[in-house]
Amino acid sequence: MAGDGIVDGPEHTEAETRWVAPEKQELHWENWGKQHALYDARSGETHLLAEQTARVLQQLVACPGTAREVMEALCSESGECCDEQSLEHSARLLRQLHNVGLIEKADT
Amino acid sequence: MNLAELPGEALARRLEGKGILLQTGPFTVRIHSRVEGFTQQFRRFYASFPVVSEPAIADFHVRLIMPGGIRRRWRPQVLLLLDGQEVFLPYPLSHAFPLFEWGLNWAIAMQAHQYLMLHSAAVETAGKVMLLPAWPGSGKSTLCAALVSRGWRLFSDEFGLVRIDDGLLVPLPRPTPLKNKSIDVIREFAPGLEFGPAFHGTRKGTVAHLRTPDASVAQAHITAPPGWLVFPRYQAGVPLSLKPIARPQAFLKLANNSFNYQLLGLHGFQAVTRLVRHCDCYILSYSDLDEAIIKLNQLTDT
Amino acid sequence: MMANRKNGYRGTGILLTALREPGRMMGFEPGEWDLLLRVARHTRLLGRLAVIVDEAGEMEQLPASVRDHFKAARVFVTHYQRTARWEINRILAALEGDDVPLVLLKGGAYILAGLPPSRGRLLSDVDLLVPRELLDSFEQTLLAHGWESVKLEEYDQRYYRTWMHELPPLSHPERGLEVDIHHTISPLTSRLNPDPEKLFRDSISLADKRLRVLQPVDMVLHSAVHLFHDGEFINGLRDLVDLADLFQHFGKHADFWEKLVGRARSQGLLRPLFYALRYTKRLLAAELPDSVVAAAGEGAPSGPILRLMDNLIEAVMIPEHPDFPRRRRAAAQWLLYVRSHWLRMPPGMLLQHLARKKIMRWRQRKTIARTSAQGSR
Repeated sequence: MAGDGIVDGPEHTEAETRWVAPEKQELHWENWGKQHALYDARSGETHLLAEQTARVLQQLVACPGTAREVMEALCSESGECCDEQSLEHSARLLRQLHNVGLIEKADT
Repeated sequence: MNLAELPGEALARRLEGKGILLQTGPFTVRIHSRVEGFTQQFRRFYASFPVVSEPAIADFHVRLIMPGGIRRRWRPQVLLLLDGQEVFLPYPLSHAFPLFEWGLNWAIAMQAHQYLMLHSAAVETAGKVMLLPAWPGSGKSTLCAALVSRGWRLFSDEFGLVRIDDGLLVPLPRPTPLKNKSIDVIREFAPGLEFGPAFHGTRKGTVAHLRTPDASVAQAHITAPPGWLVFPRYQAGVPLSLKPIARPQAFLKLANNSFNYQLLGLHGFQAVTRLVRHCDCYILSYSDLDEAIIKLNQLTDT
Repeated sequence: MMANRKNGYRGTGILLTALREPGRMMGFEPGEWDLLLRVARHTRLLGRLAVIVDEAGEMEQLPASVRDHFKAARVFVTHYQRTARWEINRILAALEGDDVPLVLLKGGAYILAGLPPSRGRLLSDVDLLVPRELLDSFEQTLLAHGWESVKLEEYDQRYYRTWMHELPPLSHPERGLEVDIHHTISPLTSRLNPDPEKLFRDSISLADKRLRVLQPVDMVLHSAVHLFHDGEFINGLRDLVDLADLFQHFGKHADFWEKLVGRARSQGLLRPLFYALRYTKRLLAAELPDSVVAAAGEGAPSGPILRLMDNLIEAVMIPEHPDFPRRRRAAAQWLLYVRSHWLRMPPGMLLQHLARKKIMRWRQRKTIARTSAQGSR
């Protein structure tokens, strides 16, 4: 079982990296309020995700994009305003999702 | 036919010849043995279990043999073959019965992937099952034996067998092995229970088995839905507490407790999330058995 | 037929019967099922039978306990196939777009190319063919992404690298599946010497363009080399079933057969092709064009050797009764192992290697017995 608290590696993700998520039917969700369990049918792994991480992933499933695009989509959805800090935050969550094999860089 | 209906001589002959086909829960086990002393203990613990008539398909093939060679003279041993394969080192001859019990558990855990298998005791009351998932040392068997002595139906002391298709629990009643101090704890708690001999110096220390209640054996074909998930934690001196736990936590604990969660893939995920969804989930910390049983009875009465 | 000898069901021709004529399973008595399930499990073919029955739509007519065994067997198959797919996915992710021609071999190829041998097939590792000049950098890439060399004794490491056609296996500690990286399909020192360049040149890309498989004739020839020249007959019957499936599947195209013999000749692989044809026909009743069998006869060994091989192959391929193991099988397995190394190594090294191997196996057995006893409960 892989948690979502894994610290990312030293590499720096360029802002222009486009991220893609697996096909929707590969991901099976169980939702308990602010906690989510996610079964990835490709890897057979189960991940426990916090609310924010789950939203980032769900946004990517709906539409691949860069950290900025993901953040803007989530902000417009929730009506929050975006700043550099939230951009950094979403970039970090994306790196974490990448580290556990849930998302990939596009065109690789 | 029950094992008890087979005269002693006939049982020994069958065990030495084509084997006995024993029914335990959903499984049919073919058992061969040429080991002195095993027959009698086997008969005692499995008296009320059904014997399947030939011809039949056995799910497991267990054979106890005495390896030859020079060691046989000064330190007689017993070897267990599962489907013809040696999986354990030999045991001292006098430990043939616990070896058989462990061997069969091991075989089930390795093979019965048509179920989600939890490492859990399971007991039923009022048509619903309480699962007590725990790794060794947490007092699961003791608690299970205590509840059964107070009228709960024994599903299993070792396996929570969850059917994948409908999420129902499947009984697998077998003798309950108690270890070390819990033997005396249960003797004191429920003086009427029938214990087998104590086996000293096993890998788990001293082990003594409780006979399976006849009623549990007779109802071994009756499945039931899960009602409660209680993670027991025995710790000397702690005050009793029964704390509800959040579903994500229960999910994690249960998935980690399963023998085959990973192997079952999506079916495992669905089975565990379904259990967590349908059960009230608690952690039980206890040191006094009486208090714990009262508490659990209250929980299920309400 | 050698499979249906008198000891028939007492012995274990029953599995060959089930594989050759799956319809016969529907008429099996409980005692026959009991034996079939055991033997199929031992030979890792239980999942295969489950899929055959399922495909025929006959699962519901089987006794409930048989259905349960088949269900459990399919759980294993699904798990291992998913694990293999994911391992390949992770390898591609590690390459980050680097253009390394990765040719999948054996189980991994059957599964990702969706070929018939993948039905119900278990696999315990992923085999890849990589051009020799890229071997080092590919290995470095995987090591940099967390794969580790599977712990082997130093002797084995040297043996793999010097004499075998592969790097010592790698595995990722979070996943544990072994990745075997080959740069050709037979050992460097083997008397067989197929040209790996040709294999790459004629390989075929899959829907995912980063992955390739051998072209049909090469896939068959590789499967044959692996079965008859690698010395591991543990999954012998399963590997023979692979070959029979491939013959049946690719054989629908007339030019396959023509090309097969030609390719075997030009790659110097007529001997393994001869064996593949001979034993899929004898044991699994594969339907093969007479002309092809005749043409491959060119690869046959001399009469006495052939009779010996017939005996050995029969002894290792026809599974033994679990309760009545035959010493003959173990002996045959050992002889075939020795033979494969004879084919692979200069004779001086051979004796040295076999002696080491025996000692290490013996040590290993002891450790396994110890750990499994400790792991029990």
